[in-house]
Amino acid sequence: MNDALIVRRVLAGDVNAYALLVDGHGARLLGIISRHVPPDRAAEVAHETFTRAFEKLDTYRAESPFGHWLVRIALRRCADFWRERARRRETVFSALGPEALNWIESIPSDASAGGLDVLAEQNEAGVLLDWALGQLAPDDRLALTMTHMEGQALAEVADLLGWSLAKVKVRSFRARRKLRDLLGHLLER
Amino acid sequence: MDDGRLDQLEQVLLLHARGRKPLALPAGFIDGVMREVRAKAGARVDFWSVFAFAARRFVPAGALAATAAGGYALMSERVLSQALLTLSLHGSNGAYLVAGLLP
Repeated sequence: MNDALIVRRVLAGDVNAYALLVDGHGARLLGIISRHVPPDRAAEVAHETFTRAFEKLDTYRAESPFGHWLVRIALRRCADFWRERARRRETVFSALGPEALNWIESIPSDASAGGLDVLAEQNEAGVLLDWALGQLAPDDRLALTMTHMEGQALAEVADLLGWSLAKVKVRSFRARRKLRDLLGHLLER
Repeated sequence: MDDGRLDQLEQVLLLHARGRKPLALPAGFIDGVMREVRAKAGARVDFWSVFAFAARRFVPAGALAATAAGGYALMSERVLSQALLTLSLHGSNGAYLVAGLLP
């Protein structure tokens, strides 16, 4: 049964049919969300996404795939997650913990030194990445993650976020510059 | 600042981001979502049933209030027309007559 039919069934009162949508899209959605919020919070944001989608189900128009519509809601929830967090943001480097700060010391300045793959696999890289991304404005973070980290096309990002192409370019450029500033300060510390 | 080191650090973080493994759905995820969805659906039904019940109860009172409001509006409109007519016929002297007409 296709998604549009399931949506119609749910709207007609068969609430249990919604489980088919959660089952069909859950894993993919969680994968997307986990690239935008810390992995330990991804399931919570995915849960919120599905409940929010249920509340707004009558606004879904079957013109675009249901998964596409769901991803848009998920991305908005991710932005909300960071907005909420920005209110109590900690910019102090000590919030990183001594392990991550020591790990930064092991970054070589010479590109030919190699070993970057090994460093990237270490847990501290994830801690630092989540911390640095958490310092960015929610929209900047979304743009940076989707363009630079996931390598999505600018037009695709613009479509998913409902932004103009120019906005995606500006946000993504600005976010990368901010990230570099943050990392630069961290190295100078 | 050492730009070489900064580039390397940025590169490592990008590598880490791209290498992150997709998470598996935690056990009980679908059940958890469905529990909340059913509760929301139930609450929505409750709201409309309460609304319909309240609406049915207030239909007679609402109809009476609407009739009274309509009647009052009609009477006021008639008085206003009369007042305007009086003013146009008697000029400023008609103000006394208008005052007598007002409810």
